[in-house]
Amino acid sequence: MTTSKREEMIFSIKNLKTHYPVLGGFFRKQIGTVKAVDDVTIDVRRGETLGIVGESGCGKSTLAKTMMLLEKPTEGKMLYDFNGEQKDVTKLNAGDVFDFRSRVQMVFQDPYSSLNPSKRIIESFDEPLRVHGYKNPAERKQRIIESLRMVNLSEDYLYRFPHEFSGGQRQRISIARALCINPELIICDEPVSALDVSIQAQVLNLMKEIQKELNLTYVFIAHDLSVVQYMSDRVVVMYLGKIVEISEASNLHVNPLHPYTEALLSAVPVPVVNEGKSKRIPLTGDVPSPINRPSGCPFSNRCPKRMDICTQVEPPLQSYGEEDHQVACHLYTKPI
Amino acid sequence: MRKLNSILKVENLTVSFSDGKESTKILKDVSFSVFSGKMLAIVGESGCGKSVTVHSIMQLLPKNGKIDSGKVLFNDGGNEVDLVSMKKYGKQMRAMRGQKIGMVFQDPMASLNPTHQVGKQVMENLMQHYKIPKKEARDKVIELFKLLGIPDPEQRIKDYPHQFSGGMRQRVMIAISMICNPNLLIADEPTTALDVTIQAQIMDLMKELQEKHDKSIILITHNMGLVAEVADFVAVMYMGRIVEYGTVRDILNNPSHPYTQSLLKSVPVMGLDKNQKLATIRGTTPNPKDYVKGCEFAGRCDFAMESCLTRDIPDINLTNSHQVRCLLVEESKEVIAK
Amino acid sequence: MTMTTSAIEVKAKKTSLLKIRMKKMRSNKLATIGLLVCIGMTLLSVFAPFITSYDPAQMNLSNITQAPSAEHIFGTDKLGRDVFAQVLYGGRVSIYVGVLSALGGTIIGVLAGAIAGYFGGKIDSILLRFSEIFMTFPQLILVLVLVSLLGQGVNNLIIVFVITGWMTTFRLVRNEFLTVREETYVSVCRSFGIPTSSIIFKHMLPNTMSPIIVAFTVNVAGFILAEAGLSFLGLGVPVTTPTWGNIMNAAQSIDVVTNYWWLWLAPGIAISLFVLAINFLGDGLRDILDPKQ
Repeated sequence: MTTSKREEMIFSIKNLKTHYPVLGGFFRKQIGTVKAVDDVTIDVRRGETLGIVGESGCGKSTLAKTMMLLEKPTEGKMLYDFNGEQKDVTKLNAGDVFDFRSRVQMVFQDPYSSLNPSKRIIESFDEPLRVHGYKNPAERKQRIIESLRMVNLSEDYLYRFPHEFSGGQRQRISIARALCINPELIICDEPVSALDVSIQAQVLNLMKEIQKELNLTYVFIAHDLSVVQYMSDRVVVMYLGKIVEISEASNLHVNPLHPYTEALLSAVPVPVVNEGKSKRIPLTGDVPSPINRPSGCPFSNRCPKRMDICTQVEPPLQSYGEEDHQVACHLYTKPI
Repeated sequence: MRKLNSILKVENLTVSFSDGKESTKILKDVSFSVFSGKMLAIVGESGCGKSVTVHSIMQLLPKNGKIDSGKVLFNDGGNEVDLVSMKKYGKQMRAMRGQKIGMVFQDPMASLNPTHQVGKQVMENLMQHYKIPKKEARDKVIELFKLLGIPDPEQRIKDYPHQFSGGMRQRVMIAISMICNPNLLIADEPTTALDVTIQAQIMDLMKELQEKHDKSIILITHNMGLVAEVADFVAVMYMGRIVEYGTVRDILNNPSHPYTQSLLKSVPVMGLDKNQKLATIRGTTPNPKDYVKGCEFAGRCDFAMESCLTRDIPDINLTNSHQVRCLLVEESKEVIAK
Repeated sequence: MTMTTSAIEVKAKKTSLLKIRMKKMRSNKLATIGLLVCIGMTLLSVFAPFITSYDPAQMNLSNITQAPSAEHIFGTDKLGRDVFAQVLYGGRVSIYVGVLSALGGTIIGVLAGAIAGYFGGKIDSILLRFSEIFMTFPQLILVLVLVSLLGQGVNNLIIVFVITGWMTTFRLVRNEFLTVREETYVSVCRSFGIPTSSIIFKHMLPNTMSPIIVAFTVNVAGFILAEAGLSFLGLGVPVTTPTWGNIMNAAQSIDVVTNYWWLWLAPGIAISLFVLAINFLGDGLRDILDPKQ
């Protein structure tokens, strides 16, 4: 336990579940449940970048929204560190929620709809600053200019409308807006997936610089494994609402444990001409719908290393080898 | 090495779009060949003209787009025809689309009609081009579904598009484009909307079609990783020009245009050190309307010289297969010659 | 930088936006004509006493059913009243009824629609069912019932129109809000902790404004026509108050239609002209107010 105690937790997610009812029939009765996030436990450490990776429908975006209090969790605790005092943010009063929102901000995927088309850039920044206690308009303007400078945009852009900017510039503006109220933790939900590769590199570099400069903690969510690996200190791999593996980012491609992580890694195309046959691990079939997940391990129906136990018992998330390397797979389950 | 036959030759294709007031050149002097049984990848970022290129080949440009000059020579069983000379919606061109050249689009959900059974949609394409009985057409569809790895084809042809997953829908789209057994298949970002594991399945399938069934494929993509895995030839496009063209080895092992180089370096690869900075291309893609003369990339290029903006840039042959449109290469070649 | 200078700066930039819109307006000929006709007709009605010396209620039995002449440019009616004066004064009531009813209906529709669309769930279902009840009930019968309950009168007519006319705007706004709610900037506002009322009215509403304005103009036109129709039937405004509909009321007999064409043509043209102009204006405003163009 020494390693995990050494670093300070900023946000602890404990057994978090976010479920949605599926309504159907004439009377719109509940006929099922989408378990978008199911029993997820993660610790975010101060100053690190925690990457979350997974394919569409794995629940990574729902997890981000739940952490940002944009979705109501069904069950579980989310402990946030308010200057040394741990509080469960699912049970905060209105004032404390406001305090939480000044500490945690989010950058969203779509740079085109994240800025209000009918508002000038300055107006998009002004109200967040005002509600967060910047009473003086001149001070607010100064703060906006500072945040724009941080993302290498000049103050000439203050009075422009969003449609005058390219996708990359808009995403930088969105980052500046998240930064303007001085948060400690930024949740980034697919911040670069809508951008062209050369622009993507600009934004990724910028995010790293800002993190160093302001001592920020990032939760970085993406579907692109190589981007997540590059940005993160630790990577969480999700599949169908569950965590299947947590690993040091630098160790992930060297020593992947879960068969799903292995398959995901082998599916990432690498821009190197390979002369021999590729060693791709073929994954048959599609991701099952989160409404009727297979029993036992969620990956059991596509897993090339499936055993009998996999369809019956759900494997717990346990450390394997090192303290910081956790995996939920029966191949590595320690006999109790 | 056996001599390659080309199935499609695009020669000096120039296309402009007008916005009512002025017309802007979107494709400039684009030339390339697609060799039969090989896969050509056209790579570039959004707005580089890669989609316009294939739409010009298929004569599917929108109303405000116009082919100013150039030829698209298609080898129709030994018989060379110029697609540009055909009437846009004439009988000849309609016979080309679907029957001789198949097309797969980016978004399978938007390209399938949600109110028709998928089997019917595939059969429709077949029966439009060949007069065969319905039963025979149905058997052919089932056979093709089997080949494309759609499980339980007898049942699934009766399903509707929403009952398919994204990957399966893209297989149905490939089935529609393959049903008439065309020799050339054009795939416009076929996997961009799909997850990586599904992308791998679809790309394996396309590679198999090319290798086992001797199809020629044009793959449009922005993903250099995909190119490395499946393509035989690569054309890199920037602002309506092919800036570099060569075999996949030429391009990936010896990228010679500064744009290709930075494109390759700007994507993180697995195992890249966290503290290493990614290479970026400064600035943003300029507006094609502002172009005056010289190299389109000069304004963002770290090696730009004065002459890059004042001269016409020639295509320079580095090797038989490898061409680059850059003055830097011209100079170094001269140095070697001396 | 001081507070005042920055405030002035914002103001200066704001006017430039107004200028852009004015320019767009001027380049749209139909909308400009519509606007000018609407303003012109409204001004004529408001300043009616300065334009005509006749009292619209003043009967002159020695001078009945006169054809248009220099003295009475739209002629006189069966009681010898000047039709031109009646059309001018009638415009006051007709435009007042049309604009006020549309305004009332729009306010209720926007409020209910915004709440239903933003919150969804139970509130949405209740409001939606409520609007459906109003829509399925035959409107004319509802109007008759309400008129007989409240009695005839200009303001009562407006109340009746507002009660029976808010549903189209409501549905429109609700659907717009359902779409806009999914836009990322709404989530951004929520994650900043911006108050819900501010999200709805300051951030979302401006982006739904153009269809609302178009609906508003269509409603103005509709209510003016409805007023004319009801008054024609004798159910709208009391006959003693001149409105465009009430003047047409005189043309109920075949005799008038065939022999005294000026009695119905003048108010008829006034109604058509105003309705057409306001429709042009609405169409143009939709393009002009779109920030993306």
